[in-house]
Amino acid sequence: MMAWDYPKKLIEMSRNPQYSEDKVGLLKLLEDNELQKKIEQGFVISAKKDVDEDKTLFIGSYGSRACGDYMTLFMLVNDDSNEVEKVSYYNYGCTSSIGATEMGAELVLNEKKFKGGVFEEKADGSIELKVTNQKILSMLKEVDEQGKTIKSVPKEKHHCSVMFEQALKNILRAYQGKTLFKDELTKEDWEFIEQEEGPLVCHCYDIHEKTITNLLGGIDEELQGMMAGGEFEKGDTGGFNDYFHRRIREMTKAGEACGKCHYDRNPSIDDIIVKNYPQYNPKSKEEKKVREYETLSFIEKVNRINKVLEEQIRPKLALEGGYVSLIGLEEDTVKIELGGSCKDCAFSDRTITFGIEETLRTNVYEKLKVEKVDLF
Amino acid sequence: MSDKIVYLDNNSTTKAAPEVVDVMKQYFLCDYGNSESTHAFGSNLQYVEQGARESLARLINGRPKNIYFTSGATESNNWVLRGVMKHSDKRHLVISAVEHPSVLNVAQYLEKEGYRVTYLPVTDQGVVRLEDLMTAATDETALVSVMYANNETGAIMPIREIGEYLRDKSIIFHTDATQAVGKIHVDVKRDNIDLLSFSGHKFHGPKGVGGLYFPLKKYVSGKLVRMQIAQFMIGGEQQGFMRAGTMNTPGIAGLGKAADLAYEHLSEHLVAGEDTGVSSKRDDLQEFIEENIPKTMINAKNAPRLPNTLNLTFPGAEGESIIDRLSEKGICVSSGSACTSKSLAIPYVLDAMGINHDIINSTIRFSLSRYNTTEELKYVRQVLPKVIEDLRLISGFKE
Repeated sequence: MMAWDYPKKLIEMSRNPQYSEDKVGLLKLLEDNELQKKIEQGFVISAKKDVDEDKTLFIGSYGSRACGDYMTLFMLVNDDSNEVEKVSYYNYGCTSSIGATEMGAELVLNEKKFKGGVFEEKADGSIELKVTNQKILSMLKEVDEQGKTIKSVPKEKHHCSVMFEQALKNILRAYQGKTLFKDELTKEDWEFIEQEEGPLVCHCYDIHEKTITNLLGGIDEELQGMMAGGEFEKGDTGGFNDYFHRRIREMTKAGEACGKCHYDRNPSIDDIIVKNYPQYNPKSKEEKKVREYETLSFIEKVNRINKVLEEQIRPKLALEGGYVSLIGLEEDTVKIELGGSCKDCAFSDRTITFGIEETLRTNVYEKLKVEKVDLF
Repeated sequence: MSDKIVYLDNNSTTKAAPEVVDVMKQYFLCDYGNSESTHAFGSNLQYVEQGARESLARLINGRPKNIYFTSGATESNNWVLRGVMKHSDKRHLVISAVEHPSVLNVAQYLEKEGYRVTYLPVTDQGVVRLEDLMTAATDETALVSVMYANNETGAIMPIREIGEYLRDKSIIFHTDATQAVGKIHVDVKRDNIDLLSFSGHKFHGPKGVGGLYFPLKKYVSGKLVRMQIAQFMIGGEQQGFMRAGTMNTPGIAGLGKAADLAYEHLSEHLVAGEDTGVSSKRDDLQEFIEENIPKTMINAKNAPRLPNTLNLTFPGAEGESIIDRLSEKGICVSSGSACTSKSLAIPYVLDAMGINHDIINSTIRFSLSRYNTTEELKYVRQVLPKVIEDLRLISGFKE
C-alpha cells in the first residue's frame, strides 16, 4: 500500500467532478430502454443515437471493472453547428482515473468543434485525435511560476489517460457509423477491430498492437530526456528495451496479469518495440536470452536446463546405452551424474561433459558450466 | 486536508500511548547507558529489560526468559523462516496464502533457494482449515507458519487447533501474531505455540521494536528437544548470542509499558474472549453501514474476527478513490485496491478468499483502536454514505 504523489490539479478535479452528473440528463434524452440497459451493463463499446432533430449522442467506452478501471464516455454533438454541447461519463476508477477523465472532458469542451476540433478527418479517411493522453497528462502537470514542471502524474497511473483516449476513439468509431456491443460481437466486428487496432497482443487486458505502437513515440521522448539527464548510458540497448517494456505495462496494463504478451505472443510487445525501434533491440538474440535467463527463478532455470537435457542430450546418450541425471544447479554450475555405459567410459569426462556444456550454453545460457559428480 | 484527524488505520500502525512515551523519555535523557556495559550506570538497565520481558510474558502467558527483542515482527518472521530452514534437515515449510509479506515473500525467497513451500488456501471467510494443514504437513515438514489473525480482514485463524495438532510433533509451529497481541487474548501455552512474532507499534508501543517468543526447546514425542534456529542478526553478544545489536532500551521499556496497558485494557473489557471496549464501536459502525449503504459486503463476517477490524466491499466505488475522499475529510482508512499498490497488483488476501474480481478493488479496511471515540465514529457515519453515493453516481453503479 502506498500514497500516490498526485499533482494538485488532478486531486482537485477528482474530488470536485464537474461533468459526471450530466449523464443523468443525457441518458434521459436517449428514450431507448434497450440501449440504456446495455450502457448500464457496460456492454456498449461504441454507439450513437439521434436524440433530437439536430443532435446526436455518441457513446464510447473502455476498460474493465476487474482491472479497477472502467469508463463510458458520452458526447452530445449539435449536427448543424458541429459543436460539442455536453460531455459526461461513467467512471469506476481511482483518483487519477476520475481526474484524467475530468481533464479529458474539459479539453474536449475547450475544442468546441467536434470535427475539426476534437478530431481531424484526413483526406484518406483516417482520423487524427486532437485530445490525446499526452495532452491530458501535460495539462495535469503542476508547474511553478517559471513554467518548470514540479509534479507530474505518476508514471504508473498513465494508463488512466490512455483509457480516456481509447474511449474517445470508440466515440469516433460510432461517428463513422460503427456500432459495437460487447455481448454481440460478430466475426465481422472482430475483423473490423483487428483491422483498425491491429492484432490482439495482451489477451488479459484486451490491448491491440496499434495502442502500443501509438505510445512508443512518447516513450522514446522520455528516454531521450533521461539519456540527456544521464539516467541511461548511451549504448545500453538492453536497458532501453526493458524501459519500453516497463512503460508499456504501466501505460496500458498490458502484460501485467499473465505476462505472456511481453515475449511469447505473436506479435509480442517485444516484436512491436523491435519493429518500430530496431536501435533499441539488445544487440543480439543471445544477449536477450542471457538477460531473460538471469531473471528466472531457480526452479524455472532448472526446468529450462532439464528440458534441453531431455530433448537434445538424453536421446543421443540412450543410443549408446547411457544416461544423464541433473543433480543440482549452483550459481552457473550445472551438476550432472552420468550413468549406464557412460559411467565408466574413459571419454566421459571430456567428451560428454564438454558436449553437454556446449549444448546448454547455446540453448540456455552462455555462462553455464557443467560439472560431473559421482554420487557413489 | 481537514484539521480533524479520525485515525481508523490501526492495523497499519497505532499512536504510541502517552504513558509509553513518558517511560521512554527517561531512557533517552537520563538513564541512557548501554545495558551490556560493565559499569552499573549501564548494566542496571538489564533490570528494565527484564521488567519488559515480564510484562510481555504476562500478555501472552509465556515465560519471560523466552522473549527476544527484535526490531519488529518483520525481523522476527525473517529470523524464524530463514533460521529454522537453514538448520533443518527437512526442506519443506507450510504457510498460509494470506500471510503478511514478511512471511510470504521470505517463503518465496526460500523457494528460489530450492526449498519446497506449501501455501494453505483459505475459506471464503478468510481462515485456513485444519484439514488442509493436516494434509500439507508431513514428515518432511520443518516448519508451519500461520498468522494468528489476518491484517486485512481481521479473520482469526484456528491457531489452537493447529497447535494441538502439531503438539509433540517434530514440526516447529510459528505464528505471526502481530495483529493479535494486545488486541485479543493470546496464550502460547493454551495454544501450544512454539514461536510467536509481535510488533510493539501495533498495540500503542513504539515503532521499531518488537520481538520473538522463542523457548529454545519443545517436546517431541514426550522428550524435550532443542529447536535449532540459526542466528539472523550476527554481531555482539547481546541476548545470549541469539540476536546481536545494542539493546534498544528506550524502545524495550516503551514496549513493556504498552504490554502492561494492553493487559490492563484486556482484563477490563474482555467478555467471552472479546475486547468489548473496541468491538462494540466496530459493531455499531458495521450495523450502521449495513443499514445505510446498500449492497455493502462485509468480508470475513462469519469468521472469528479481531474486535477492531472491519473489512468492507462497496461495489461501484473504487477503493483508492474512497480513501482519497475520506482523507480529504480527515478520515484515515486503508484499501487493498490494485490502484493503491505500486505494482498495481490485485489484493492477494481477498483474491485468496475468492472475491469476485469485478468488485475486489472496491474494498476498504477500517481498523479501530481503544483510543477511538464514539464522536469520531459518529463523524464517520456522517461522511461515509455520501462518499460512496457520489462515487457510485460517477461509476454508474446500479443497486
